[in-house]
Amino acid sequence: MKKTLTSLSICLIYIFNLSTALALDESPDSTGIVNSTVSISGIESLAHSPNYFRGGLNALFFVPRETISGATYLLGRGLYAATKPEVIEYIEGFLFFYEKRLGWYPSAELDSEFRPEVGVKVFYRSDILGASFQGKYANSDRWRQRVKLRLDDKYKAFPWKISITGEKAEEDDRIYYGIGNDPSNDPRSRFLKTAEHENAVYKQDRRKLQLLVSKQISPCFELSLTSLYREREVISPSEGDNRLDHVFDVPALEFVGQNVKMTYSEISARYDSRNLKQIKSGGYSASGYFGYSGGVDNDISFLRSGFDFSLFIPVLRHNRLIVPSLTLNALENLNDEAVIPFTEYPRHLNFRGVSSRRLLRLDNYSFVPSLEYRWPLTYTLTGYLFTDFLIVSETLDEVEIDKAPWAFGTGMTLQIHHADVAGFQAVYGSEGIRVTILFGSSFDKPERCEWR
Amino acid sequence: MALNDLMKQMRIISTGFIPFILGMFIIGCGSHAVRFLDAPPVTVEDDKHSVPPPEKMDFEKVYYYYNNLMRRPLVDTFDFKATPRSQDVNSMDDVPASTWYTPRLGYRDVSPDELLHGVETVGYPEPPYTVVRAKTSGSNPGFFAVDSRGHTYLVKFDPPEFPGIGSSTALVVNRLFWGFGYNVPEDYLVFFRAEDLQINPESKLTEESIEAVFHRAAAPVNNTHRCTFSLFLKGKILGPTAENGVREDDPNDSIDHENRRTMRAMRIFGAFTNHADIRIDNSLDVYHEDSEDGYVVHYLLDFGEAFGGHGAEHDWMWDGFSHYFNFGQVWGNYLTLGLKVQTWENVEYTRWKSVGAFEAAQFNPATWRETYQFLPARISRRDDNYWAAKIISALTEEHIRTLVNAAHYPEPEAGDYIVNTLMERRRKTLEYCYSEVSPIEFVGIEDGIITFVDVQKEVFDNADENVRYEVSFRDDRGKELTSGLSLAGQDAEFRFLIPDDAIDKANDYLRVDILVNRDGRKAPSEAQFHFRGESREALHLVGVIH
Repeated sequence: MKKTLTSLSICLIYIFNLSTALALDESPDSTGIVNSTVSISGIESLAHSPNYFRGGLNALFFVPRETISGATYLLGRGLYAATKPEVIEYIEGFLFFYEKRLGWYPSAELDSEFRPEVGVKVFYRSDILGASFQGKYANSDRWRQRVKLRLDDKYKAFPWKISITGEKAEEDDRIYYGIGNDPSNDPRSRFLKTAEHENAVYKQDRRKLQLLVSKQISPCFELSLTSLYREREVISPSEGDNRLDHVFDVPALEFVGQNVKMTYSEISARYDSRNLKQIKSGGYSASGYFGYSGGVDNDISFLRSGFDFSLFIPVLRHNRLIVPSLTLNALENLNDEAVIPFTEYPRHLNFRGVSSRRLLRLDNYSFVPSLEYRWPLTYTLTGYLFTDFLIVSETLDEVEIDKAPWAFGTGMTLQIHHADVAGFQAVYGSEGIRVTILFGSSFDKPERCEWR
Repeated sequence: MALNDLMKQMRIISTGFIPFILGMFIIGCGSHAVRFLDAPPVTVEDDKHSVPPPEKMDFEKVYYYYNNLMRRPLVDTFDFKATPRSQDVNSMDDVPASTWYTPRLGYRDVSPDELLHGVETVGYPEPPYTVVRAKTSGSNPGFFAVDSRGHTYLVKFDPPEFPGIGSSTALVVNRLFWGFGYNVPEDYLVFFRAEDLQINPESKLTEESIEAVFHRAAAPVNNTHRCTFSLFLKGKILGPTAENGVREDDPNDSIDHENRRTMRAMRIFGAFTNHADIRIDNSLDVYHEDSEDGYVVHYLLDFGEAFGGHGAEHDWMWDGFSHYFNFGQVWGNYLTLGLKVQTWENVEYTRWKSVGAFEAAQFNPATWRETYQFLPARISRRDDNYWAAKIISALTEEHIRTLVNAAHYPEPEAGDYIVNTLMERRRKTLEYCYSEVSPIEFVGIEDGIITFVDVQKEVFDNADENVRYEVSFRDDRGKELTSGLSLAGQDAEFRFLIPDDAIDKANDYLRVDILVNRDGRKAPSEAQFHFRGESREALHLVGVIH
């Protein structure tokens, strides 16, 4: 009982900060000087009228308050411990070497559609040369490694950027839906008559060597030449009801189970009227490319071309932006005798309704019109709302939007030094709900030339 | 807050959970009826008792920002306690002198010249200056140097894009805060040429490293560098002044810092000068040793980023208008899709680099925000703000112009702009603080006739406004003794006779409440004047609450 009463007293002092009331009887001497340990308020007594409303709310929220307080306190102390200079020094020593020229970063990607993926990037950088190794891993059938060498003279004595990239990846859980805007009814899709699923899972092994040469013609304009050699093998998994050979006529698809070798060369140009500091302001960006792809040890031959265009229209202020954009990718088969592997069709990497691992709609022409609204939430956070559509067609004359997949979503990104370092996105659309959380140094949005 | 504080908290919770909940229900935080002692007001807080040197406190930078910007605001969402009255306030609603505060502006005549030179004890630094070590903290370039007399200074330069902004601001705002009553270091605006500088051979610094500092600073004009010399404080450096709680190893430190009016009032002083970079590492506790006695003195530091400096340095136009991070702001902006244009978005840089974006047109003292939520400023009450306003009201244009002239703004007209901007911010600040209370001060009492002054009327002398004073007479429990008065305000001073029956029923303790009604708008609270005395002739003031 005594213990409880003592606790009650301590609690009351704790709650109401009654230290003043405890020292009300002390009075200053005639010089007006008082020891600060007694009250200097000159208050003789304090009649207190209770406020049941506030008291009630405090009692009601006692448990959540103290739980949050305790949890966030421990989190904060952990944060403090992790960021103490000696710890930072240790971490930096752990992450970086040789005056930070050599180092590594972790990364992670959580997607409600697939297994989490963790990764690491190891880099070396000097004033003119950069080299990196990037690895991502989800399971033994899904991993990716990329080696990149980059020549980029920051002193601009050498006017070109040159990079050589080598990549090797195994990717499972990839999903093929067929060809056309209505794949299940399009004969080009080659569905089995006995198919019980509208899509199929496949795995691919991929190896790529790429050379990129680019020049910054002006602060806003960049010109690039790309050339690559790639090998890709599409494999039907050995298990699962919806594996590729249970849903599609694999022999008719051709190339499945074969190592398809390709070369590709393109010229591309990109113009962005905004510089880095104005990245959250009005303007426009446009890019276009044109390239040729030819098979090695096969008869595949086709042209690729495309463009994307985005307008950044300020509303109210420079940093609230309405961003209408259109991305078009096109493919033209130069050899009607040869079947183009479905993996070579233009992708819909800008469509946010599904993961890029799903080949939701494939055809000679692929359009992704999008409308986005971006606005600042606070200094480092930006919110956005968007709607995307995915339209494909065999020819430009047959564009139909009736069955086009759509997505509506919202998200926020955290930027530090003009770079996205973390993000959250929730999407609802024709393909269901998708939630994505990204953080880490390799917050890399899908590359347009992922199919390279 | 250390781990054992948390353990203590957990112990309290585990042993007294039920009484704790009941206590909160029963008592709550209600209104108070105050009765003052019949004693002279405390004018000096005797907090200079000799104590052993306390331990140095480290600035836990990451935890501090996390706690101030995220943890505390989140926890406080579920805390419904009323903010207690400041505890370093005497019966006259004033702050006694202490190791925190010395009454200056508003309490005695401070001439413009005294405001400019009052802080100085050693005088202007004398060349040659010997660089003794590098400056490793803070974003502005600089180093430590010793002048020819052996005094050590922290030397800070202006950022390259904004020549003059830090050095001018540092001088003006350092003097203003001295005038407000705070302990500040001696900051001097110094112009020197490269030949005035030499390097201490033992410092491990080279000419290249000094050149690197110059390279990061505003370019010299006519080979003359412009910078701030901040005199190194003497005594044992104890680290920053915590913004809440007390320094437990300092017996003189008995009032929780967040409950000190001097700390809370930084909200208003900060708003007036746009000193948004209020945080504990811009404060310093120093252990002073006077002969055999030693005690802790609390300083404020680093004013060079007030005005437009902090915002200009980071290109943060929202500086002074918004915290760095705020949950409410994030969700508010998210839910409104950013359709509300924030006030700061109407702010633009002035044409003077030495001024940055400092302005008065968009400034609103009610919504002013320091960058990193500073607890005492966040919980400042109306009476704390009013106290700060009374001090600012003592600041005249002549005071400000004297400081601005001494700051030698490098651009013509920039000085005039700063003076005009500060005067306009002063007006807005005073109007806001006065509107939050009944700004009435006691002048005197003679034979039961009490004279008061309406401070707002006195300062602004607005003849057009329609003011009424609702006067009520109460006992020490707040019970009304007789019917009150309603007086029309003509001049700033007004007087009335206390009714006989109020004195008869008062039983030695009479409270006179005055509620100001200005142009039909009633003040949110009345000013209370507590008198003691058995007769009309014996009545004397013993307490004031605003």
